[in-house]
Amino acid sequence: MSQLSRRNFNIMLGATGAATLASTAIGTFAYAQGKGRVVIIGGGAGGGTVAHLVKKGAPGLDVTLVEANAQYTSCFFSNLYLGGFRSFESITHSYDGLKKLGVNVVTDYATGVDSAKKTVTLRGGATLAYDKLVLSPGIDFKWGGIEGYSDDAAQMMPHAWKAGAQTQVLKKQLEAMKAGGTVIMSPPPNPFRCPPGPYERASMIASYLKANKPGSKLIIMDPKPKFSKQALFQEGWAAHYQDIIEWVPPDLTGGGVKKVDAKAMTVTTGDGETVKADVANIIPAQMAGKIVHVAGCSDGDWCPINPADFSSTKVKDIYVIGDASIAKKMPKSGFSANSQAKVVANSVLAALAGKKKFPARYRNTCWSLISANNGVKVGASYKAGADMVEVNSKFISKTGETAELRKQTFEESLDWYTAMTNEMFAKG
Amino acid sequence: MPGSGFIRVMLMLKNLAFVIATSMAALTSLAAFANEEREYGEYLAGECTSCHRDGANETIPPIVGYEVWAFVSLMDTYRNGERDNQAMVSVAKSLDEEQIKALAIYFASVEPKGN
Repeated sequence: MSQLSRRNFNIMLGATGAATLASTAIGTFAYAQGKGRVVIIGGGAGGGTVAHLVKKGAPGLDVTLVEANAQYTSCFFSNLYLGGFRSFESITHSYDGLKKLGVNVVTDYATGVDSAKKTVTLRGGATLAYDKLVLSPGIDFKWGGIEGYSDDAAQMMPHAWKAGAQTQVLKKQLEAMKAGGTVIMSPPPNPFRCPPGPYERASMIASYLKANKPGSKLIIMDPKPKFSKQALFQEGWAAHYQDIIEWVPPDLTGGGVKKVDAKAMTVTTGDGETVKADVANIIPAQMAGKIVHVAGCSDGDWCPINPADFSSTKVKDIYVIGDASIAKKMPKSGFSANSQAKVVANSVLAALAGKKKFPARYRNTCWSLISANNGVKVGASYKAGADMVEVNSKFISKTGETAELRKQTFEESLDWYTAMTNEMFAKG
Repeated sequence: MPGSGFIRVMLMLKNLAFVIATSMAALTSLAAFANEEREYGEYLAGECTSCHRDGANETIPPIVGYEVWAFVSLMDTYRNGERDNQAMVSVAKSLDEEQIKALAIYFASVEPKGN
C-alpha cells in the first residue's frame, strides 16, 4: 500500500465511520420513536406515571390508559381533606395532561385479559391489543372478614379507602355528627394500602373533632398489636388529642371489630361487646384489584413479580405494579407505585423503542400529618432482590423533634404532592 | 531525517489523516459516553422528580440547571453530614460516585423553566 493510498484509506475509514455513525443515529432515532402498543390498566400513581413516561420517551408508541373514573381523587392527602387541611378539588385530578401528550385515555372498566392473544376486553365492548400490558389496579376489598360489612353497608359505614365518593360520605357524616359523639374506626389487617394511613386519618378526624365537635371521642379498634410510625403518632395523640383518641389493641377486644350492623350503627368486637357509633369508619381487609386475578397474575391475594422490573412471574409481557404487587419490604403506597412505574417505563421503552435498560432502583417516602404543621415521614430505598430489602438508607422522623422541623416536614409533603401528581397526570 | 520534500509532505498528510481519524473516533466515543451518562442520569433522575419539580419555589427546591460541580458538592454535603434532611441523606447515601456524576450531567443539561 502506497503512502497516498494509505492516506485515502484513512480518510475513507473516517468517512465510513461517520456514515456508520450517522446511519446508526438515524436508526436509533426511528427506533426511539417506537412501534408497538402499550396498554395500562389503572390511572393512579402507578398507571398514570407509566403512561406519561412511556409516551414521553417514545411518542411513536401507541399508549392506552384504561381507567374506570373520568377524574382521579388521590387517596394520599384524602385524610387532610377529612381534617379540613385540603379541599376536595385540590386532591381531584383530570387526565387532560396525559390526553394532551397523546395518551389514549379510555374511561372504561377492563373486564378480561387474553394473554395468549394479547388482548384486553372492556366492559363497554371494545377489545384492545397489546405488546406490553401494565396492570396497576390498586386494591379491592375482601368482604366477609367482618360479618355484615358489604359494599351496601359501606354507604352507611364508609371505608373511604378508595378515595372519591366514599371520602365525601365520611366527611359529611363527621360534619353532621353531634358534639360529644362517638366515632369508631376499624383499621384493616396487614397487608394493606398505605400502612400509616389509618393513623394519619385518626389524627385528622381528631383534629376536626377537637375544633368542631367538643366532647367527642374516636375509638380505634385495631386488629393489629402494632402499627406504622406508632411512637410518633402516639406521641402526637398524647400531646394534642389526649381526651379524644383511644387506641385499643386487639388483645383487649378479641381481635378488633368482627361484626357490624350498618342500620343500627353498631359494631361488635371479637369479645362480643357491642358499641353504638355515630360515625363508623370500617376499613376492610384487602387484596389486589380484580383484573390481575382475571389475567392469571395473582398467587392468592396479590401478584408475585420479578424484582428487576416488576414483570409478572406468571404471565409473559405483563407487568404488575403498585398495591397489587408483592413488593415484600416495599410498602403499598402511591410513592412506591410511582417509583416502580419508572422502572417499568424504562423496561417497556427498552423492549419497544430501543432505549437502554438500566438497573432498577426503588424508593419510598410516606409523609403523615398529625396536627396542623406537624408532619412526620418514613422512607427508604430498596434493593431489587427477592425480599426487596431496604439498602442502608431507612429513615424515620424522631419523637421530640422541634416544631420548626415538623413544619418543614409538612411543607415538604405539600411540594411532594404537587410534584408527584404532576408526574402522574403530565401536568405542569 | 526524511529524504525528499515529497516524502515529507506525504508523512505530514499521513499524520494529519491519523490525527483526524483518531480525533474523530475519540470525539465520537466521548460524545457517546457523555450521551450515555446523560441518559443514565435522566433515568436516575426519576428518583428525584417524585419530589423535585421544575418551577417549584418552596421547601423542596427545583434542581434543574445546576452546574455539575455544584450538584456534586451539594450531594456531598448530605453524605458528610453537613446537611441533615433525612430523605436527602438517604438518597445521597444510596447513590455511588458514578451515579451522582450521571445525575449532575443530566440536571446541568436541563434548562430551568422557571416559575
